Amino acid sequence: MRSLLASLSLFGFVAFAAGQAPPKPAPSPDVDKALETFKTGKFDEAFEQLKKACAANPQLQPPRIILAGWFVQAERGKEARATLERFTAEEPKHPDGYLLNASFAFGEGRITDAILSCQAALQFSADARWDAEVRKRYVREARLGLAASFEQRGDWASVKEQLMGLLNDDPKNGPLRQRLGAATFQTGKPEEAFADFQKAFQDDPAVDPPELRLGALWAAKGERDKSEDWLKKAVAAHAANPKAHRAYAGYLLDEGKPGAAQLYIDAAAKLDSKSRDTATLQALLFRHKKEYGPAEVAFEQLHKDAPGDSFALGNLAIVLVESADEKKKKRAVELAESLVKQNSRAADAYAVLGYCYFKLGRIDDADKALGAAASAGQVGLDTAYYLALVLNEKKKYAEGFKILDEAVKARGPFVYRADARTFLADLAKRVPEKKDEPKK
Amino acid sequence: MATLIRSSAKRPRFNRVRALAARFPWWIHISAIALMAVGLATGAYYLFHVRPEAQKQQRISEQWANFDRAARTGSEADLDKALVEILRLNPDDSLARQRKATLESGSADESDSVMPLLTLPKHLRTGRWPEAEREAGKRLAHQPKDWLARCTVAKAGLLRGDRAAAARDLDKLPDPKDPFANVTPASLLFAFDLFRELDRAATALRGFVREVVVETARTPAAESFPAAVKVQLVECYLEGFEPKTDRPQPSGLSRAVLPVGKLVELALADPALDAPIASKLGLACNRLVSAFALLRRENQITADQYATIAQDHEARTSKVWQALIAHDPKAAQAYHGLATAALRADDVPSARQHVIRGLEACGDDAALLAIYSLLLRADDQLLPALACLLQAVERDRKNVSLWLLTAETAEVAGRRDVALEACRKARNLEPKNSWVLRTEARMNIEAGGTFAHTGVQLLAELGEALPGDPLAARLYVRGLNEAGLGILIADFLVKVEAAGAKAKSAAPIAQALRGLCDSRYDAALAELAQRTARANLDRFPGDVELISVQALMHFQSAERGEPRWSILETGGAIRAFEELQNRAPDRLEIAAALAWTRLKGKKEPAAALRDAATLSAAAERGEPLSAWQWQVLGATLLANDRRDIAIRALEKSGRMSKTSAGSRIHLALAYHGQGRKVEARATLELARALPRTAQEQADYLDAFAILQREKS
Repeated sequence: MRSLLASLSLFGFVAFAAGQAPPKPAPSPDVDKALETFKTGKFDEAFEQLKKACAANPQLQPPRIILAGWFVQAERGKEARATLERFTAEEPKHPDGYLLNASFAFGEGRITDAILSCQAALQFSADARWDAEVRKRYVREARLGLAASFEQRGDWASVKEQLMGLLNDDPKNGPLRQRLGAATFQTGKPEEAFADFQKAFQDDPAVDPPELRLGALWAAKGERDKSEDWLKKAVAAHAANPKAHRAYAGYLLDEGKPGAAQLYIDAAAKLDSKSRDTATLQALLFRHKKEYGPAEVAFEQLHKDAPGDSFALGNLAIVLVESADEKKKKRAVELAESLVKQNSRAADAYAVLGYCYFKLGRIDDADKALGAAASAGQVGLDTAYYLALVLNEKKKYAEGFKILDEAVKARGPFVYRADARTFLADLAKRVPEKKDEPKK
Repeated sequence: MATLIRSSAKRPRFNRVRALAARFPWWIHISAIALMAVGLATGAYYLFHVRPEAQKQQRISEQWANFDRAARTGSEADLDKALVEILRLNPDDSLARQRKATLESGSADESDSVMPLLTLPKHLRTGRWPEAEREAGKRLAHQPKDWLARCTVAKAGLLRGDRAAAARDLDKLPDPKDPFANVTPASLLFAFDLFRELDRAATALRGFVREVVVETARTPAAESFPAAVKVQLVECYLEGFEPKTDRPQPSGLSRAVLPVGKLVELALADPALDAPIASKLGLACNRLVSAFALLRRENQITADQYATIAQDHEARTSKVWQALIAHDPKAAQAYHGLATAALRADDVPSARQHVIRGLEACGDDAALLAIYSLLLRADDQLLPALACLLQAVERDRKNVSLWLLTAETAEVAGRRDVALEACRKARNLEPKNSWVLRTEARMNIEAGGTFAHTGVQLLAELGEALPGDPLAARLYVRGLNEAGLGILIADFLVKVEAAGAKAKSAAPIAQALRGLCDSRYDAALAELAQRTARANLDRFPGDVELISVQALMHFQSAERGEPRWSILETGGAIRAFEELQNRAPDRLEIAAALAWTRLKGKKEPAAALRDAATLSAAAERGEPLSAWQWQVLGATLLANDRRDIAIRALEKSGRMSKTSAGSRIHLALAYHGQGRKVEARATLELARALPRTAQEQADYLDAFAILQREKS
């Protein structure tokens, strides 16, 4: 929601996953019974029960496919793979086997394998034994898999080919046409992409407005001015759609313009006062404006309503640690530690923890946590600020200056940008070569 | 033997005295001798000691008197001469020694209450603020009421960035009439500058100007002041005017109009007049032009008096500028002054000549280029004017007014991109300048599209002041609607109503509602405008602006709502306009809207022509009409078969608005009616490429059909 880039990067995978995840068996008491047996660990017995259920109901998927799917959900990858291999050995021309294999491969990042499996499924779906309905399903899932895989590769022409194939059979499918638009955009044709988005919106008003999609794509490409232009158009063209207002408000917050963002958040709140997304933006706005009291109240409510929301949790920790109240600061650290437990691979979580430690004077702990955040890959702009603070404490002025200088020059979400600028000027006084530089 | 015998005839007096003396006792003799000795000694003492000493003291006193005289004129040479002489006469004179050291070091002794009066102005003249502050502190230790010293300390505080300290010092300024304050024209001007810098009301100072400065200017003594002081006196007089032009001017200033004029004449004739003084005099003369006009506006001088005063003053002002050129041929300000004086006299050729002479003499001076651009603009040479201004801002990149002038010229020249960029530059220089903010916001909102967002975001920076600022509120409402933020308008109008209630004026809410009239039509917002106007008419019955809003919203609903020109809305609009016409018969926008409604809504061209008579009359009088008003006039005349004048009106409308499809559609029909088929088709083609409202689209289709019929 807040970061358009984040939403876009998830886009392809979710779309494929939605189309290519092991299809759930149709509801059936026999299948349910088999599932219960499976849950007790009696896999062979469950398989026998599935066989009977599938024999009684030909509409169901093959029993080994269903079983493999259950193994996946139970996080028993080895058994899932073994079941699938056995199925493919038994039925080497069954599309379901290849589709499931493609799903595994995609999840594990083996894109080439996913493509090959989908292509095989597509080929075998032409077999005369499949009726029209079933063939249509296999073709659709294979194409969805191929589209997602080619998206991962960045082979946009191939993505378009698959999506156009899908749209031939389902011309009013808004989400598919939006994906087509995104692929068209990536081939350097933004006007055509916009036309696709417009058609998608026309066919399915539930999808994002076309201007918003284009704004997100330009943002992902780093063209922030163009992105802003389209976000403005989105608001003007879809004044009654709170999504448009929220998107632009998020952009303005990322650009460090909380005053301007307030207008659009107010508009979104008027249009949809109960929206969690709007409440989150409002809370973030409070944080940008350093109104920590209202920010705390807002994030506290968000966290209470959805304890698993790491964004709310992380921001709540930051807001509490900014307080002068020692109890709140301690609570901030506890929350940050639980955030890291929930998201042990998320750099942002370690960054929040690092900052909380820093604010409590636990410099070594802060250093460790921020080190973990930095090692996860690209350092976020706020993380760079926290790092610089810690490096300053450790008297590593030049290093801190370098990191912070780059962060301040970059565009993007940076809540502490103003503080970072002030700190950078202060840090410069302690860096020998910067001290001697003539002031501009 | 003859010489030995003393002749009693030769020495009779001595013998008599001796004889007389012989009669007295010996002690008398001794006493007399003693007395004579004392007398002699005393005489000798007096002659050889007391008298020279007295003479010396007198010479020393004379030198101290010379010192005092030199102190009044500020002549360091004379001061030094006097002190040297004093020390020659009395090397032990500690005061003289001390003061000589002060002259050399520029730092007075703490115990000396007089020398800071000399050292302080010296440091001020040379811009040495730390030293000036130091000396001011010494003076204040002896005389806390010293005006100049107090102002110096305040200014030093400001230079350090300590506004609070500066404000505290200004609070300590005594009554300027206090004799110990020793207020001079220069120190009074100093105080005015400080008050301005600190944004403080200078009401008391202006009162002093009216009471004391005005009277001083009227005295014969003022005529003998040095030229520089005369100029300062004129400047002080100008400070006496109320700076907010919407407030009345205080009475009493008119008493000094003629004396101030005389001071200018005398300063001009003073042999000591040099370029810097002439320059200040010229600027003061420029300001006097507006000052006299203000006095006339307030009827503090009669029309006849003003005519004479203005004429004399213009002649004087020109002489001042000519004098400046004589002293400094490269004084660009002088040519600028002559040019603006010529423009005031509507003598554009002379103004142009002065500007060109100035540019030749001084090179590309920013102010001269700016005035040159105005001359070009007046000649409709918009792009050359813009080029001129772009040159000017290159020379004076920190001049906010110049950037804004560039923006406005660019806007008129149709270069919106340049206009917006110039606005951004102005705002970068002065981010908090509300005039700059409003100008940039207006241009963005009028540009429409995505620019409306920028305009709205800019106006939002005005914060709490926005609802109470009618023009900004109007723009803001328009911008919110154009940007798709119409949902925020209702809440904003509530704030505007509150501001209006506080000010007891309908102006804020009426203007805010006009913002809805200025922007794209939205049925829900039109309804909101009507509701709000009705509610506020309860509070401000008969308010013409609110009734105008109602009428215009009816008109918009009629022209742009669904169905177009519904009987209800059209009738409502006509009734509202007719009511307004009774209250404000000369309002052009009402006449235009009424004429258009009758022409397009009621299809009554003859009635529309009667309504448009107000527009015709205004055009004949040379009053400015807007592009749309010209269009309405032209379309109405066309509908009544007055094609020639219709064409003139529609062509004018088209020139004024490059994006108006409506004027071009009607112009095409007018050309067609005159048999100018090629022009008709070309004009209609231009209209085709422009965005059109529903009415314009309907008109376009009608016009297209007519031209096609003829073609076939």
